Amino acid sequence: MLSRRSLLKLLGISSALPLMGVTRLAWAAENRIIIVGGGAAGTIFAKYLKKILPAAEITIVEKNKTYQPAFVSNHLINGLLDINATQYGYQTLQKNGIKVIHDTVTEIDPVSKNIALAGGKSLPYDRLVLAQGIGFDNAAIQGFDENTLHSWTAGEQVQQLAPKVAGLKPGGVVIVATPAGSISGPWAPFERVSQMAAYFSINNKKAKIILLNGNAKTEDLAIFEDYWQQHYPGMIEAQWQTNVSAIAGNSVTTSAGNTTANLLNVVAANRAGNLALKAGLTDSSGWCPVAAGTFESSKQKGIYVIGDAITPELGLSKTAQSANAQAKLCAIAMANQVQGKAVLQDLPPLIDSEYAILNNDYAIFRTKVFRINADKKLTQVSHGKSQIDDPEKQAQREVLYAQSWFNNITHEMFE
Amino acid sequence: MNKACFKVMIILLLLTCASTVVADNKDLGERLAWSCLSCHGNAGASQGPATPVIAGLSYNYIVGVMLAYKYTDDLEKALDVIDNNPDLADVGIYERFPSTMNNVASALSPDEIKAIAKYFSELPLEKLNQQFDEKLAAAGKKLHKKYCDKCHENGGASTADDVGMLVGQWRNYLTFTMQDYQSGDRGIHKKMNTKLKSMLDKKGEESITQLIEYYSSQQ
Repeated sequence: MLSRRSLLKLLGISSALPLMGVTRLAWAAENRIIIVGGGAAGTIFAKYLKKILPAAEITIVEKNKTYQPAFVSNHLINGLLDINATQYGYQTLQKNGIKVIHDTVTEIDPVSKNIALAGGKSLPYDRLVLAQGIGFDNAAIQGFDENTLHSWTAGEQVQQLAPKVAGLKPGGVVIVATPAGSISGPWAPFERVSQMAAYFSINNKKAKIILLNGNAKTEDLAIFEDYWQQHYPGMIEAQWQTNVSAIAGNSVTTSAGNTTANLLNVVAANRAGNLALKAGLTDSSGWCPVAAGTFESSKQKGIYVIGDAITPELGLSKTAQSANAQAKLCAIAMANQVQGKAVLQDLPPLIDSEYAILNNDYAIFRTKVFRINADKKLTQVSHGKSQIDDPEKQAQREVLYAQSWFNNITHEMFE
Repeated sequence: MNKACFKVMIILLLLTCASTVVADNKDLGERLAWSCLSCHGNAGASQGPATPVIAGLSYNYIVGVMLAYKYTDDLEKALDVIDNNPDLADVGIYERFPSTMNNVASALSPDEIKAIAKYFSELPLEKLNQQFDEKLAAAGKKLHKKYCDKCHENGGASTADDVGMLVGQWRNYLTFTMQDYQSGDRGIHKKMNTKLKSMLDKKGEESITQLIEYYSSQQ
C-alpha cells in the first residue's frame, strides 16, 4: 500500500497541501496579535493561542511588571494569604515565546489597526484582544479618584486595605461601600465584610462594619447574613440599595445623609475602562457588547473583548474564573478562524464560578456552566451553589477547594 | 485528467480527511480538558492543597467518576451509557459526595467525557512534594502491604485495573475520600469495603491516618 508521503511525491507536491498553503499565506500576513492587559483573561488567552498557533506573534501590553491579582485583596485581611506569595511575573510566558511590553496603551485606532503607548511608541496589530478588566465611573461619586482606597482592581491597591483594617483604632468604624449594577467580583463585597469581621472578632472586638451596597439583596446573599448573625451579632450593619454620591475626608453621603467612619473603603460604579470607551467599544450600558463564543466586539471588527469589560447581557459574571474560561473560548475560536475551520468548533464548556471564603473553616461556591448551542448562542446548561443547610464538612472543604482554585489558576496564568 | 490520476486524487483526499478527523478528536479532548485546568492545575497536576491531581488516572476510572457526577440524581442512566457503549464495559460507577463537579459533568456528553478521559489518562503521573510524619508513614507502609497492596499495587502508585491513585495525590483529598467512604457519602467497591472494615476493626481509626501518611511520603 502506498503511504501518504509517497502519494504526495507521486503527485509532485511537497508536504504542504494546496488548501493549507492558502491558509498559511493569509495567516502570515495577519498573525500579529496584541493583548491589552496581562491578567486572568489576557495571560490565558496568550498561552492557549500560542499552543494552537505557535507561529503567531503574540504581544501582551501590561503596565505592571509584577501582577497582583485583585481576587486576593480580601484574603490578605485575615491572613488567609501572604502578600509575598501572591505576586507574579511574566518570565514563563516570555520564555514560551510571548512578548510582554510593560507600558500603558493610550489609544486604539481600529481603522489603521494601531495602538499608541504612553512610552511614545505605536504598534500595529492584525487582531486586538482587550483584556483590561473594569474601569471606574469616577463621576458617579463626588470626590472619588485614583487615591480613593478601593482595593478592587489588580495592582498596588490590592495590598493597601489589609494594613488599614489592622490599624483601625479599637472600637472603630469601617464603611465598605460598593455600587449598584454589575460589579467585578459579585460576591467580593460580602466576602470582604466577612473577612474583616473574622479579623475584628479576634483583634478588635468592638469594631463596627457598615456595608452600603447599591444593589438590592438577592437570595444567594442570605447565606452571608446568616453567617454574620450567628458569628458576629451586632458587628455588621448592612444597608441595601444604598448608593454613595459623595465622599469627603472620612464621611460618605447617601440619600439618607452623611455617615462618618474611621476607615472608608469605597468602590465607584464599575464599567469598561476608558480605553474601551475611547475606542468606541462600549454601548450605552458602559460595557462592551461581544459575540458569544468568539468574543469579537459587536462595535469594531478585529477587536475582541474578554473578561470583566464584556456586556452583562451574555449572563457571565465578572470573575477571574469566568475571564479564564472566556479567554480559552476566544483563543480556540480565533485559531479555528485562522485555520479555516468552523469558528465555533471544539469549544469547551465555559465554567463561570465564584468562591467566597467567609472564614478559615467556611467557604461557599456558585457555578454556572455554559455551552455554545447549535444557534451559536451561549446557553446555560447547568448550575449549582452552596446551600445554607449544607453539611459542615462541605463548607470546610470548600475553603481548601477555593485555595486550590487560587493556586491552580494563578499557576495556569504564570507557569 | 486520466483515470489513474483521478483515483490517486480521491485516495489522497480521503487520507487527508481521515487524518483531519483523527487530529480533531485529539484536539477536542485537549480543548475540552482545558476547561478543567483552572481548578485541577496545568496538565491535570493540581498544585493543591485539596483539589485532586487527575493526570495519570486510568481512562475507565475518569469515565466512571464523570458519569457518576453527571447522573448523580439517577445512576441508572450512567449504567445505561455503559450498556450502550461496549468499549465502557469495564467502567464502574460509584456515587460521589456532591460538589461543583456535578455541574461540570452535566455539561458534557458521554462522548466528550470519553475524549477528556483519554486526554488525562495519557498524561504522566507526577509525584508530589508533601510533608509527612516518618513514624506514621512507617506504620502505614505495613498496613498498606497487608490490606491494600493487592489492588493498589506498587505501594499505591499504580492505577492499573482502574484503581484510584494514592501516591502523587494530595493528602487532604485522600482524607476527604476516606471520610466519605466511612460516612457512606461515597460509593465503595465491595472488596475494598471488606478490607477497610477489617482494618478498622483490628487497627482502629488511626490506621487511616497512618496509611495517608505513607502515601504522602512516597515522593
